Amino acid sequence: MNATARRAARPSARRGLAEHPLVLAMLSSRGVGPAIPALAYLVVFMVIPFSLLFSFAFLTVDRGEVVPWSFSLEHFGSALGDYLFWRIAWRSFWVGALSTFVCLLLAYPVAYLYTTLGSVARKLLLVAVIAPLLTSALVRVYAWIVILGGRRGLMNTVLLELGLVERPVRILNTDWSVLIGMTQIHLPFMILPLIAVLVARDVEIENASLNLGAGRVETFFRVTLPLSVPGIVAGTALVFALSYTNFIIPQLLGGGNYTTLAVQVYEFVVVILDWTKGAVRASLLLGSCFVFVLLIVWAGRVATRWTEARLS
Amino acid sequence: MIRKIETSTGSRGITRRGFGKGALAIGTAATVGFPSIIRAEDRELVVISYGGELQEPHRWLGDQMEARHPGLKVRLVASESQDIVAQIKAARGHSPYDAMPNGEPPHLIAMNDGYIQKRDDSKLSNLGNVYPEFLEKTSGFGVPATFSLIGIAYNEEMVSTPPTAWKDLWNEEYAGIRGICRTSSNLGLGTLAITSKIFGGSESDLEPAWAKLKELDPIAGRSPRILAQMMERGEIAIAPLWNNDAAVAENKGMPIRFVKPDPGPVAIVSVMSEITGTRHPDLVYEWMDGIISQEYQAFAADAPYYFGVTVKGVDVPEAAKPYTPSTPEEVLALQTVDWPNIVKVRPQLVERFDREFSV
Repeated sequence: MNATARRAARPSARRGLAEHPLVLAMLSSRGVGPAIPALAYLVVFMVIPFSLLFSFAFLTVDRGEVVPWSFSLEHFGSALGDYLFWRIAWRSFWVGALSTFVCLLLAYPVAYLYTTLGSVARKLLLVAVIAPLLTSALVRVYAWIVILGGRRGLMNTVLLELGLVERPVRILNTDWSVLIGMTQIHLPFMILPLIAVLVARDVEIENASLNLGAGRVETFFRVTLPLSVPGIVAGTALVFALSYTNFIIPQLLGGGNYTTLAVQVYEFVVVILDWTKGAVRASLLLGSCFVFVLLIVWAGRVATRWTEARLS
Repeated sequence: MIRKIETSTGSRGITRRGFGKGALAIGTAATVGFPSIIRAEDRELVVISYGGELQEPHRWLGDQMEARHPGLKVRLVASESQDIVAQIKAARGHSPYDAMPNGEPPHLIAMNDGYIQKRDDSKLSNLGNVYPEFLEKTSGFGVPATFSLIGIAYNEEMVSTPPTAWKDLWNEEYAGIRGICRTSSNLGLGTLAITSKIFGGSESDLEPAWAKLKELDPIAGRSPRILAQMMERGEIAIAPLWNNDAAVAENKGMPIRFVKPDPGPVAIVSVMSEITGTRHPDLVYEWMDGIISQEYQAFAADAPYYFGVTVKGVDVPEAAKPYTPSTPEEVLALQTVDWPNIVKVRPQLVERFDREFSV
């Protein structure tokens, strides 16, 4: 018997990881079995850190150590009773909602255009949409600083050269620069779900509407738009969550006079070294974001049911 | 044939030979592609440093140490000291860094929180060179590396009348083009303290400063570096700024000038300290001793860094005179701040900035 044959005769040597009994049991089982590795990953890297973060919000942390028996609701109480918190929370919500709305306005025509193109043009458009995602958001934010920044920025140079303004306009370090940055960076996250839904829609319903005498505009608003509600909901939830909790864009494009909840979390944790206050703000930010996303999904369901009722 | 099947279907089973080959391949890849894995066996001194050109004096010193200790790597990490303190705090005694420079406010915080170690004078042969006034500022922790000035920087293309005194910042001519730094930085705290002092307040009564800074209606920078960049881009034309940042900007050809305003610029000492839990205490002492050597001090005092000299026997270079005090009168005019009073309320001051300027 040669060495290869001997190895072949040993059943344990022939079994790879894919044939391991534990793996086989996991894969053959129904329900959560196949998802166990992903769930374990989520527990270790999301559930436990979030639980720790949330628990820090109820405890006093001094010099990196939790003070024993320091459980208190007072930390949440003082944050919720502070007008600064509400002003900053409102700004976070407002910039998140506005950038989501602008993204939707800009993304819908692009997604609709995609459905009307041939296969080559579709691929080119898809590459154009996805290409920015291949670059770090940080790099793109710095690019906006170059474009919008000061008297020597690209935008002011162009405006002055064209004679559209007499003196440089200030856009960087204002709400506008944050809005521009958020919209550009999050636009692909709105376009992609819309494309997915618009491509899969039943075009025959639109044709039926046209055949029955409705115009193109009426068909769009009464048939196409309602049919794309699932894509609008997915894109809105995604872009809002990204914008509402974003740190880099307000930090770099908003300037020192611009603070959002995410920026305040950084200030408390890193600058002030008050982990309790940081954890309170982070918990409120994440919790409120979760609630807003649920509201968006709920509103989407209501809209979908209403649409289905009208179409049927 | 069988051998071919075995190698091409490696995923079916892990054999000893296969494992050996794999390990060899990984080892080769690590040697060729990931030399840092091999270098991990060597010693590495990790020192927090400044960003950009201001890091060059540290690099110069690091190169000298590497030449003296074959196999030693001195890694400089450009970062804000507040970020580093937060990381050290999170590491709970297992700091990835060995030494760090701190301005007086974070130095006091690090000292009180135990993130830096008390100095052992017997291990520093150059300590006798240090001016006693600077040594006093360390409170027995670390060595006084350099000092920097907070003065007023302005863009000479946008400002027709250069300021000469702190109070000039409030001139109507500069409305809409004034900048200040947030109080999360030493620059911001220094600006707050000097404003309070010149308008009748003190370090323990900062209310006059808040009111006067509000009058400026300033555009705020998140850090001194960002404030300097804002001035370079022309978003602001005048602001309290570090002398070193103004010097670097001017050296790059920017129309930025620096003035030491009356009654005098604010001087802040930077202290190089041993971080608690360092793996290389002897190397850290060698590094700190190098920092207070006359050679290093002369290098750091020269163009374009213009760091203030803290040891005896080093002359201020001619080119540095617009940025550092060069006469006894200028030294006497330097403004100092009672930092322990400020540090006590630093968290409230950082929050207060948002209340005053971000809503």
